[in-house]
Amino acid sequence: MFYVMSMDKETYNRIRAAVAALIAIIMAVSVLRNTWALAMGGVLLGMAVLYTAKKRVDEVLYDERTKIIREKAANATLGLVTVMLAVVGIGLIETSYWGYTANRELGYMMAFLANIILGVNAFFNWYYDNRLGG
Amino acid sequence: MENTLKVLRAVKGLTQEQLAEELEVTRQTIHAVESGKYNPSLELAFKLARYFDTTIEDIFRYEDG
Repeated sequence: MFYVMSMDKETYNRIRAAVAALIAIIMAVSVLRNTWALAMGGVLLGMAVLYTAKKRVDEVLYDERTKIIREKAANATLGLVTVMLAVVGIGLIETSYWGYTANRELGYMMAFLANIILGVNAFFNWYYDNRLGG
Repeated sequence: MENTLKVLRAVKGLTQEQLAEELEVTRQTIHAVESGKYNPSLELAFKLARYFDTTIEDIFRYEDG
């Protein structure tokens, strides 16, 4: 039977980094070989290893401070990615009128994606506002 | 917001790791609270107060502005 002894946070972090590197290599190989099954298998195996490792950690990994850090990082990512998508998308649409017609489709896609992200964010803001007594 | 957490912990002879384990938070959270970089939630503030058998006001001092 597969058995892993309990581990500390540092060991878990090392395993997490190793799994991330391994998944990146498997993804690269699967893209080169054009085999989606290998990529899927690699990701699923990585998730299983991480899940097992996480269960064996005897220290606290997440608490209220790490939750706030994640929220702030997610907010910053949302703001940055949305603005970048919108700006680059509009830029690509603009260049499509200067003769680079191939850019138009990608430009519209990026601009629409920015709008979809903003829409989903607005919906979840409304949802959590109601849920938390707003 | 200033706090006396470091002093209270030293009086009890605890390390940051030990206190973190007792309160089920990470060691980094205890360090961040002690250094004033992070203000704990009300729940953690109560946990700290109960653990040290004191009041929240005795651990944390809020100053206007």
